[in-house]
Amino acid sequence: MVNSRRGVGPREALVRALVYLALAVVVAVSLFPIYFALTTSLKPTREAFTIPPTWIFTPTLEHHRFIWLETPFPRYLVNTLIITTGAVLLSIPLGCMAAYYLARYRSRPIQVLLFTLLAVRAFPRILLLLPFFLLARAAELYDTHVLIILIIVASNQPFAIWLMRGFFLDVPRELSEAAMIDGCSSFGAFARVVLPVVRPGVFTAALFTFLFAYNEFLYCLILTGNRAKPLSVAIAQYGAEKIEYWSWSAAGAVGILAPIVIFIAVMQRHLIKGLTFGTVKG
Amino acid sequence: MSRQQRRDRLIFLVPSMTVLVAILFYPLAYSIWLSFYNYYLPVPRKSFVGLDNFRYVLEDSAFWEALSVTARFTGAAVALELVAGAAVALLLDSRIPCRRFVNTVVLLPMTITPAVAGLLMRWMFESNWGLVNYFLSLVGIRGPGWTGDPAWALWSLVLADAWQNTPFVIVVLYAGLQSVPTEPLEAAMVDGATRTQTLTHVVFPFLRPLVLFVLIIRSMDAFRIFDQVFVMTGGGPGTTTQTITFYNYVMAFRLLRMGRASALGVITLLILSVVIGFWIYLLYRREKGEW
Repeated sequence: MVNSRRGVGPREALVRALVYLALAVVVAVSLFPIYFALTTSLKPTREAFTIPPTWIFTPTLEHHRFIWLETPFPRYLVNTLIITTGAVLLSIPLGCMAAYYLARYRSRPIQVLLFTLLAVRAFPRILLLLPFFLLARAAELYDTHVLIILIIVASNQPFAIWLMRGFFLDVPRELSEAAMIDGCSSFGAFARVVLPVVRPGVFTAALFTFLFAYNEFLYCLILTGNRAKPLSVAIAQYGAEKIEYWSWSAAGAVGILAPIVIFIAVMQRHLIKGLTFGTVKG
Repeated sequence: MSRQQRRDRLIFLVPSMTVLVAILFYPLAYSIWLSFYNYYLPVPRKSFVGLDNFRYVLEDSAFWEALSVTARFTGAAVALELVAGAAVALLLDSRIPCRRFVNTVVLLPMTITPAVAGLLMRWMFESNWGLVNYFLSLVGIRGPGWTGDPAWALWSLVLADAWQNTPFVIVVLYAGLQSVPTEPLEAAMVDGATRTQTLTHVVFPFLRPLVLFVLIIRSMDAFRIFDQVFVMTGGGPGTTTQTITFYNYVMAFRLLRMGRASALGVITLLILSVVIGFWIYLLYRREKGEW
């Protein structure tokens, strides 16, 4: 937007101050719960849940040590890593290829397919969870990484396709046609000529698939047991019978959040394009 | 369809669609099929019961209560997020210091694992040592019991959802504001329009498709909320925060009534399809450039 402010009169200064104040509140509200989890995980338990809150304390790594060394948390982390890696590696190539086709050709059935995909995004997941559970038991896939990966890949296809299609639409058709005249196969033109052009898009799609897989909860809650259980489910299952559990939960929460927070701080730019499904040129 | 297109379809489209059909549409069909059967998980035999499961669900007061909880939650959360999101997007759009830092921080809650966000919010809203009540007490308000209080539990969920998902609204609308074309804005200024007039007559019409987009995505997701409910309230106290998805989960995996749970899922799908159908109709019109 064009900024219409010119001179800085006293009224302008007041508006300015109010804007800053409002932003400060927004920043505080956004950060506070995360800050609370971080400090709780570093406080001795007896200082963690007091009113008024203990603002100054001697930090201890005891809770972090406990969950990473004396609980199966490392195994859950490995499960999360397997699931996220598998999901990204399968979902992105499949999604890119489909999106390429759907961007290249226009027809009535393709329009219908695109909107069907959008509708799939809105499916009540619980409706699929039930057959997943029954079929997975029958196919002996219950509590395996493969099962979760496949489910995430399928659920993520509509998003990946819509997002990537937006990027492919921006690539002039002539590019792949020229490549094919120069002797590339259809797939070669896609992989060697078009794909490198949309690299930022691929990156954005991968980032979102990663987040989606990393954060997946409901399917994992029902479809995994001890073998394939990821972090997201493990953290939610700490009970509240003992107050120490809260400190451990906080340490676990920090463990889960840390990679995301770092990731996002570095890749903020790529988020915006993905969030808007490519509706806004970010 | 040319030979080239047919071959491309096989190479590019078919793999992805195979995965979709095998992993989403086949189970969906199976679920619909199950909804006509009486299937209690501990008893392996299923028997065909026609529409009995549907009748059961529609006569079940818990279903209607869950639907009402879900509708109230979705309406309140989406409205709150839209208003707060638009306000923050406008704030961010003015000249501010440390833009990158502020943008990143504002985005952060949205990227957090929903189950963990639920946990964080549960701590914030804890009635004894939770910080929300602590801050309220600083300004002399005695806070309610939040998640433990039947009158406030749903509001705790709404506020928690707003904390996590308002950033999505912010990002989309902020990106929209940044791409408002400059010519009409300058024209408005030349014609002596006030800031408010510019906003209502130039900026808002431009943002309308984005607002619709945000409404669609947010209400779809809010309607299906589960993770935060599971972590924050477990559907309680009583059944005051039992959303449709949570009730469906209870019916399938605690009561083990697979047939009835499928019927409930199908009914939810039907409700959603009507709503989504309408939205897609609106989006489709936009795709054709009619607004």
